[in-house]
Amino acid sequence: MVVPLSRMCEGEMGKIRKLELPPLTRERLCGLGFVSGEEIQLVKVAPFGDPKVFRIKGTDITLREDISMWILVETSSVPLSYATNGEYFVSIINGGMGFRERLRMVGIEVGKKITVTGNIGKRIEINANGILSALSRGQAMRIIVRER
Amino acid sequence: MENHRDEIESRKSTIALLGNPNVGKTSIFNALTGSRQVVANWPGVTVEKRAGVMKHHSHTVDVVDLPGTYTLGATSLDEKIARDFLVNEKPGVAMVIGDAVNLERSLYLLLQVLELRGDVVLAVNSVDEARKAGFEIDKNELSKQLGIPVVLTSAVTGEGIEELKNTLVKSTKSSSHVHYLFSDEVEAHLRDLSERIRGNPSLAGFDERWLSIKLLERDYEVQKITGITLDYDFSVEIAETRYKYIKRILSTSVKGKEKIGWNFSEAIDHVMTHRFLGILIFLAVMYIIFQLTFTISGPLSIMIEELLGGLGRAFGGFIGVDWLRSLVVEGIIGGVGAVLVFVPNIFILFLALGILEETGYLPRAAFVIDRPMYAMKLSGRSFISMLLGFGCNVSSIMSTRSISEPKERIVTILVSPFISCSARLPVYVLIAGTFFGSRAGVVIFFLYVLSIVITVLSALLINKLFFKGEPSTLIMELPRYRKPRLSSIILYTWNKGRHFLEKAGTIILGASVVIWFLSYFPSEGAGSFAAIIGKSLEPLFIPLGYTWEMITSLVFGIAAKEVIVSSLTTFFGNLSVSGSSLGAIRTLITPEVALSFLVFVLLYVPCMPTLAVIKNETGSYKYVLFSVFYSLAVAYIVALIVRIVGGLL
Ligand SMILES: Nc1nc2c(ncn2[C@@H]2O[C@H](COP(=O)(O)OP(=O)(O)OP(=O)(O)O)[C@@H](O)[C@H]2O)c(=O)[nH]1
Ligand SMILES: [Mg+2]
Repeated sequence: MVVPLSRMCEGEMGKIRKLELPPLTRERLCGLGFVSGEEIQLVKVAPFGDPKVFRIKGTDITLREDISMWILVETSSVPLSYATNGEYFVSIINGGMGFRERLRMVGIEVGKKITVTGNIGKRIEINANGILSALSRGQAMRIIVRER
Repeated sequence: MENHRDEIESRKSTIALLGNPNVGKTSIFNALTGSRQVVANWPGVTVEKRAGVMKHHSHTVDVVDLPGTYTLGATSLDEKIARDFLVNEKPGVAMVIGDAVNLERSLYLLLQVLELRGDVVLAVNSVDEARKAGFEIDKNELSKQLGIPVVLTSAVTGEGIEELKNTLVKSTKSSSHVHYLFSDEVEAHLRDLSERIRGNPSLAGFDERWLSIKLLERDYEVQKITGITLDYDFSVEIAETRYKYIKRILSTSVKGKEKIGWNFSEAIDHVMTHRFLGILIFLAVMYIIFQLTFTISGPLSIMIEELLGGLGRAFGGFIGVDWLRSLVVEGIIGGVGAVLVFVPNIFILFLALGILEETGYLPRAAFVIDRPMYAMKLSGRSFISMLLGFGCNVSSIMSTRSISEPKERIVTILVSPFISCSARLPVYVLIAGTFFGSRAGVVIFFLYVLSIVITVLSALLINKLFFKGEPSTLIMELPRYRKPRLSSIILYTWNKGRHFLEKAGTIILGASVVIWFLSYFPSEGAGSFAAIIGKSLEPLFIPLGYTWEMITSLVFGIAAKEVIVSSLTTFFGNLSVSGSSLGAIRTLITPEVALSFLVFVLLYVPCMPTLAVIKNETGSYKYVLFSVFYSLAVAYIVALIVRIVGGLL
């Protein structure tokens, strides 16, 4: 799936495809490692939703939406709330200890395999190693999964 | 004789220090030359070239520290300085400093330099940190692959510095020039372009291949000097080729562990840039700095005050001549002393700023605060510059060089004088202490808040007036957190604080003598020249209610804001931080006039050095004039409002 960098979720990883930016900005970004094929991760979102910190080549770079929306990335991970029925690996859980703990109780942990059995309306139904659970859309937004 | 010739010869070759921002160029420069330039943990500290001399055995070589840059296609002013030095001044040796923890990106710049010229040395700095992070760098392999000398260094532990010096004095002779190949298509274009360039005698001093590569990257400056503009663009492909080449080199020369779990930086960052806590932490940090500046320094200031008082009495005791006693005791010791009392405040302020800069927190604060800045069409980057303004507006304006957006830079320059610099602090403490006693802290805090409010409003207005609100960008690297080292902090504090002492010994001393003279002749008090100056301007200040002494001190305060303190002291007799005296002024004006005076001091005309640097950095008197008249108008209006509102309360 190719999306603008600005659309990635916290913690999500992708591979840069293309920079649709004016030459000077592109040149500057090239010097920082923004070239196609490079792995990039959204690490952090600022208090007011913008700018965001991206990790590329081991360093953290801040970009605003006005730039990150013109950088296209290929990503195989999606927020769980967008996942259609099928098998996935949990790659990131954005949330505090409490949230993680609650998810652990229903078998949802980073690195574990889960199956989406239903994604309609406000609820997403999950089968994690035999444990059935249902998450709200908001909760599912904070869980990033990778396709098998 | 032999030795002598050798020295002259080696002096001709200059070593230029290049590298990405924040890799430790200035730290290495200090280590090589024994200089004490300020280093700090954020990208964009050095914004001008600085020369020093490295002495090694019988060699004496000039070393030039340059601003950091990610590529040679400079986009901001500081990057242009680095690039122009490299391209036009053709230093004998180009030393590229890389970051051992992030070698890949450092080598990208190195390759660009290698495309341009030979005689390149690579110093891989911060090896101490790389080892801790579990990287092992094989410098011989790296050197073999790149075809240039490579030294592993740490400016912190001193590792590799001797070796670097040896390598540098040796390499002033070699002339290897490394080439690597791009795709066939690009190479074919490069051959064609080189052919065209070779036909142009005015370009003889440049490397043809380099010019050709830059043309394919559509480099603006190179298009200008060659007069060639191509309608195709290979910059993406060229950049990708460079990175591929780098990956190949690193695959054999660097061994690193896979990173597991959270590291130190990430854990701290999680809190510092947290969605809710981030802003709170920032405000708390600012408040703590504010508190430290006033509380810790209090007792120290009183000590200095007593010391100076004793000195004054001692001199007063044995100088028989009336006017001379007055000059020494009231003019010099009183005038300069009134400012010296604030040495502790100012050093502690710089100490706090130094810690802030050394830890790497500053860019995080910029990140957290960027969104509100965006509303003013500024960015977190300009916020860093403004924050430095709490120390000194001059260094704040200088630091705007690394803002890549020219308009954003101008707006930042024009509004930063409203940031309350350390030189204004003595005035606040003195007047607020005299009139508001235990509530002085609140008054000073109000002034700082007002300073920020006016800065924000002015940014909005100037944007509307001149630039029709064009947005800026924010492409900023967040450095690794570092434990501030005592030596760097002391160096930082001394470097910045020293300036204050120098001012005390020069401008303030001079102004104190002049003011004493003006207030003593032809007759002391209301008949003096000082009174004539003040009284001639008095009609303008009737609405504000300032006395001629206050007006005269404002006039002289344009030289340096601290002078306001020395002149008030001369006019009203001994003032004191402990709030014990200053009787005369208390009977003359009311507290709301005093507050309005403080507001005026905060906002009115920037000091001379600031005006000079505005001229220098914007290249235009237009902005200087704007700054003078705009700030005068703002000061007058706000001071008037404060007086009126204060009078009603
Ligand atoms: N651990 C470690 N820290 C270093 C080393 N060299 C520099 N530093 C730190 O890195 C930071 C940046 O150092 P500077 O010398 O200011 O870097 P610079 O390349 O001149 O930076 P700019 O002028 O902003 O481009 C400072 O906090 C230094 O203390 C090193 O070898 N090891
Ligand atoms: Mg520097």
